[in-house]
Amino acid sequence: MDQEHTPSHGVDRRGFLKLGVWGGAALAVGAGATTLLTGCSSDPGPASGYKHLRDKDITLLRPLMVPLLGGGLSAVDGAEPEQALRAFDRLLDGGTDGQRGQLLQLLDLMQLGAARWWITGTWAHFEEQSEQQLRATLTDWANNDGGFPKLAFKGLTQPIVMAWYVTPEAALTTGYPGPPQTLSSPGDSARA
Amino acid sequence: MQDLSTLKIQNIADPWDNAGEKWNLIDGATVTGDRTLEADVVIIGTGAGGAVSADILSASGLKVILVEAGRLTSSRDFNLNEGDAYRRLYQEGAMRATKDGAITILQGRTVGGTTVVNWTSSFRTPEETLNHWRDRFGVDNTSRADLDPYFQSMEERLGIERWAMPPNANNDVIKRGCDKLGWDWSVIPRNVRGCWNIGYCGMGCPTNAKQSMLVTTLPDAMDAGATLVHSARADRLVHDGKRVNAVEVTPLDRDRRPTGATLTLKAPTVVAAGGGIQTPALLLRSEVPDPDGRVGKRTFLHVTSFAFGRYDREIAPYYGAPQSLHSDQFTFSGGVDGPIGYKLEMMPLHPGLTGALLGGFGEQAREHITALPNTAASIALLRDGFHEESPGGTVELRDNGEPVLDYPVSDYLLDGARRSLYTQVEMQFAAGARAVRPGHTRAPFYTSWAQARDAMASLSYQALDVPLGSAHVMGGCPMGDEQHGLVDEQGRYRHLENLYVFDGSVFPTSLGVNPQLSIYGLSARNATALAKRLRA
Repeated sequence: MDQEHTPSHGVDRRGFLKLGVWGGAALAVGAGATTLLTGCSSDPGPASGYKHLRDKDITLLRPLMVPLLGGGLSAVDGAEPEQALRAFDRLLDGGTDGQRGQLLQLLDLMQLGAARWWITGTWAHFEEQSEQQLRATLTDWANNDGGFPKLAFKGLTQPIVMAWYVTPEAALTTGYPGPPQTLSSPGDSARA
Repeated sequence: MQDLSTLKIQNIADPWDNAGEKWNLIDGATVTGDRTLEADVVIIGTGAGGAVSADILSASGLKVILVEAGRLTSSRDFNLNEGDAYRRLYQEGAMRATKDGAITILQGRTVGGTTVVNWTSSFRTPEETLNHWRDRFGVDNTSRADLDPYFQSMEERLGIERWAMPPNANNDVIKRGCDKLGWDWSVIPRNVRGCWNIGYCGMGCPTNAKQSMLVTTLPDAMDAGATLVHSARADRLVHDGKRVNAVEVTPLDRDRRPTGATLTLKAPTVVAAGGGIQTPALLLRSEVPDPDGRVGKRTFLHVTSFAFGRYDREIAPYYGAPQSLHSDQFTFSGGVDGPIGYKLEMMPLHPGLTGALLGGFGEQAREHITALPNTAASIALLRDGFHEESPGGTVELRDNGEPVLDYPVSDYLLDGARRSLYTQVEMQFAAGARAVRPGHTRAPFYTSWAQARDAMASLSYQALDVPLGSAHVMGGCPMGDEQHGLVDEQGRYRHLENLYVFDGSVFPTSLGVNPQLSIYGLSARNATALAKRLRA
């Protein structure tokens, strides 16, 4: 991991380390630390119908769903990108505050043109790219040898793909016939 | 085509039915006012170490309180939905990873700990490992002869026997590949009774065939009068630098948020049994005396590489006992402390985890995952911690007290990962694979061993290029002599007189085998000694 960037913008090394990996990345693209203060009072909170993803995350990620999942999305009858995003949100719900915080930092960072250029090789917002352009963006990003771009690609695409294929409807499109039926499964029942 | 989707699982006896009526059970989600509870022993964690210890200490007549951050779930909650399993039963929802994102860590977070979600492989600690601990870290009185009686008793207790049924097609890859290459292989001992051979060990066994702590030692401890507080996170040990006086616990609601109450647990003896990562994190949050700065250091993972084979025949890697054959051809072949050795096993593939591990995106990733029924997945568990260039990772705390493991992927480790990928690719072609892909972001499916061998030579082997995982967190609170150990070989914390550590965090290195039986055996030995001392 490349953490050799010199902290700037008046953030000392201690502050720099507290910002975590993506905070360091923000400083490296000249964004300043305040860009990533996820969880502070200016943070908008989750979008309607979501527990963790915010409106800006959904706007950012929605265009990526089709090129990212290949035919995986259309293989499920009537599935829209939002269905994959809700699956992602549900997966995130199993995580912890600190871990989700890192991911939301990355998403904040990717709102910035300079960061998108550095991480994915393109300045344009994903919303402004055609599906074909997005496929090229994903290809360039996946082939980028930089430490941050590699980490960002894995850190973002791996949980989205996992979240999609743990849904029973997407799981069945892989050739997996599905699990045995457990009868009388009441969910996480309280017994105390 | 194998299809178990019409199989019905019902009328399974669950020891936790009516648990609230017959046992002392406290759901943290219901604790909204401050409370103090007292006992003879408080045990933090209900996995392999904590549950075995609770059983032994309770049976000796001591009053035990167990505290567990995960929620209580049991067979009737296990619905075999992969997403639900990760969200409910795994640390960080199965998204735990090392600090630089290079190693994904699967670890349990529920009553019964990782024993509820492991794949049942049960091996005694290798002699090579125990001898290394004695010679290198001064771990005395912990030879195989010392531990064998405890291993044997836990094997009997948990029904541990070599798997008698034929392996599933996924595991059969080991037999066919190793036979052809003249490599060692053998049958894995599993902790099951009346196993249905369906393949869902990793999502919580729905038939209670797996002899996890949830259906063995924990119910027995409860019968003997233990109290279980679940959905309650042990935040810190309150101590005066000499003794632990209390354990400060935060009850959690059903969304794992603090209820706002504080639970204070008081006992003359405290056992930390949260496992690797969680136990060191508790000690770090508690600022325990640690004059040599050892807490959380030397955390090991059995860092695991992967290879995927495609076969003409159906593999159905999601069904059947997930691990039944293994190969030790390369585990100690370079000596105990030479170039890193690795154990070969297979892993079950369900769609979500498969999608994550295959990586990539778009149509190519889609093509890979839709070949799932004909795909086999081998794994190599790298035996970390035995060589000076394998110092493992360090547990750190985020600002909010959550642990994160900083585990730099060294060249020594990457050399082992590279060799282990060659080995797995060769084995899978020998087993008859039509195409094999080593776990490497730049590698395609190769169509012959000769082609793969040449092409793999030009790949670069860097962290994040080689997807790595771990299901075995060990160390971070190592046993050893005064010069090396935070705890002695009986699990006594050297710098607080009434604190014990009975879990996998005491291992001074990794093991070279799946760890559950090592944790059971060592914890049983040390809890027995503790019970004797406390009853004297």
